[in-house]
Amino acid sequence: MNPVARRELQERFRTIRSPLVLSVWVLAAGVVTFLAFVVASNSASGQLRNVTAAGLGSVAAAASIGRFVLHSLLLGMIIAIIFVVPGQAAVAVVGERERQTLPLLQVSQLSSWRIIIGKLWSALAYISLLLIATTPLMVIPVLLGGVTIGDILAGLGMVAVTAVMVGAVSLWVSARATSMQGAVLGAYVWTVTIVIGAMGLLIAEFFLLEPEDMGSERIVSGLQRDEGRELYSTWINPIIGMVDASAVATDFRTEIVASPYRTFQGPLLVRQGFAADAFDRLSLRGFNDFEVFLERGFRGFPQPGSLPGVSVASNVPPIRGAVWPRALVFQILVTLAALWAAQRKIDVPRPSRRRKARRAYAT
Amino acid sequence: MIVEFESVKKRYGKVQALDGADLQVPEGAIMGLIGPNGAGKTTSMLIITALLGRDGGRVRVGGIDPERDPLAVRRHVGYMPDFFGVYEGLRVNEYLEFFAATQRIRPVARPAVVADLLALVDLEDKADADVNTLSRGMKQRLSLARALVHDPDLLVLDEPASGLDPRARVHLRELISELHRMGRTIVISSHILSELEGLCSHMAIVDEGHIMAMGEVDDVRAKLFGHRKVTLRVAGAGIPEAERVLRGSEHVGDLEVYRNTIEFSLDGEEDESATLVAELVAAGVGVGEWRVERAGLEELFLQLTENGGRLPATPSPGSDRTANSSSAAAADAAEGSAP
Repeated sequence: MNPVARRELQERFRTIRSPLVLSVWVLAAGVVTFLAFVVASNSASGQLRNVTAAGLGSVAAAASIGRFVLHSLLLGMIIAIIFVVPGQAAVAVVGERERQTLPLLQVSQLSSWRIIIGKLWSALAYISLLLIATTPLMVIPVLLGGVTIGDILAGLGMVAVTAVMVGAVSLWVSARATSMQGAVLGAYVWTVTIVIGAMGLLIAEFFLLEPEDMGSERIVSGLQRDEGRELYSTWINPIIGMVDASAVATDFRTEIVASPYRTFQGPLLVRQGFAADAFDRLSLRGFNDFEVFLERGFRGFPQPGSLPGVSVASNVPPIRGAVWPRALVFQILVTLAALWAAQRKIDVPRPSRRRKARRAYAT
Repeated sequence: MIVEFESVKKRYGKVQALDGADLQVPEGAIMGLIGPNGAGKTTSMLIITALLGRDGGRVRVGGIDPERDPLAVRRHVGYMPDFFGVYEGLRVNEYLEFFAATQRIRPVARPAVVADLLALVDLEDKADADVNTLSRGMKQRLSLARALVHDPDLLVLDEPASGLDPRARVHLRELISELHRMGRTIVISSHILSELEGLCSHMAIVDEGHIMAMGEVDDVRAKLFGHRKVTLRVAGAGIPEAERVLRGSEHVGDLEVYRNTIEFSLDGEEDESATLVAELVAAGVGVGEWRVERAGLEELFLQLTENGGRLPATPSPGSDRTANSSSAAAADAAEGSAP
């Protein structure tokens, strides 16, 4: 194991603070899951009063609740990552500098890459522990149905990749910083710029589109569809990437409990030519899910394809490839760039000076 | 030579920290780097340990250019900076084990290495103590143990005795001597020059980024001061005869007579001193006391600092020092800005 990471973990887990924070985190995640379940159940009960086939409706409702709980948990996790990781990673290098231990590492046999990777490890190890501690809660959606283990792993994978990216960017800020406060502030500014900035770009790009501008519309599997348009800002959005990885946006169904993913799936639907549905999901055309539910789900129920919670057009062929691999590549590139810049900052002697020295000596 | 500097230059912004420094450290020597604050001592040490790049010149440490292969240089060099980096919450043995890991010592070998080092620096009974609770002297010894963790050939110690009480200084000095006996080359800087006095085999006077004088301690001292102060107490009534003999010697100067004592400066080494005593005895002078005083490092250092970082009026023959307009204050700033 990387000695830097090992020492930091040793240091961290020796104090009472770590188990305390871990306990509070698990408790909070449990409470959120429980509340999500209660809210979803109450909502579903209200909806199911109208359902004639109550037994089948209950199964569909459970699946819908399962999806709601999983999506709430994953969104909660990625938001927690965005808020917690910068604070952890930002102090990593500047902290060594402030307590005058950085030169002691630099003079060792550790390369600057190993020091930075060790720092990243230690910053993420604790976060990983928090995430791992929360995974048992993920079993609840599986038990309720409506989600697969694959959905959970894909979602967690994207959360982890986002954590690594945010950690790497924060480390780069830390390597450049001269004070702890500056590093923490800088790390949050950069993280918010990446996440909120990507979201802002997406909103700007999204609103450049109008459903009417989407070209010739046709009906595919009973759904209104056109050519769609690539939304490039989805590629750099970690939240959209996670949403795309853990749920299929074009898996149209009449949800009894609206997933918190709904908003983020709007742009994904636009990419696939379902602009009208995207705008519906974003409630931008005066629709809401309940209306959609009533219109599509129960009008003439139990017609095939309109059963609550069951896909009405599960075999819709995609026009464009999934967003999550692109988001994954983007995040990996940002991570590598940030780590390279961070290690270069603590590399001694600095390469630029080395070249300068050679030039000076040559002359 | 284990360390070789040729015309090394290093600049921090507008301050020239090293300005064509030439330094040679022979293998097996204890080389003392002496000079006022900001003279370039720490900068030289950082360049030796590959923690700092140079702007010009040539550097070899164990035959390796530190800029081309810093990791190879660091394998041979143990560095003890003038500060003690503390990781809170680590015990003494864990602290050393961590640095053993950073030096790529195999996990199975680490406990033995740590135990040996703790025994060497006399901290065995503190193995399980929190590093934070150690006294300054203990921390310095632990710091030395940390620098030794990978068994380096060359030890670079920056102000190791700084802030220590006399007992701790003696302890540290003994340790350094012991390490020297074990065959290590040591480069050491200190402001407590009395500590270096009997410790160093070699010394280099650093001032305003130049190496002003360098070599074995006695040679440097002789070169810099060029003379020794001799006090002769004459037994009986031989003062006039003694004065005549001394004034007749080409090695004697600044002669002053006080009752039965004559003080003068002797330009020469042991041979000249012995010849003069023999001449006095042959002339029938009763030599009651013959005391030769050598200029101490402390005296040299004081002269350097009192002159604003300039050497005494009789610089080393062959010294290529040129007049430098940068002030000692600017050099201080350079030392301060060294990472």
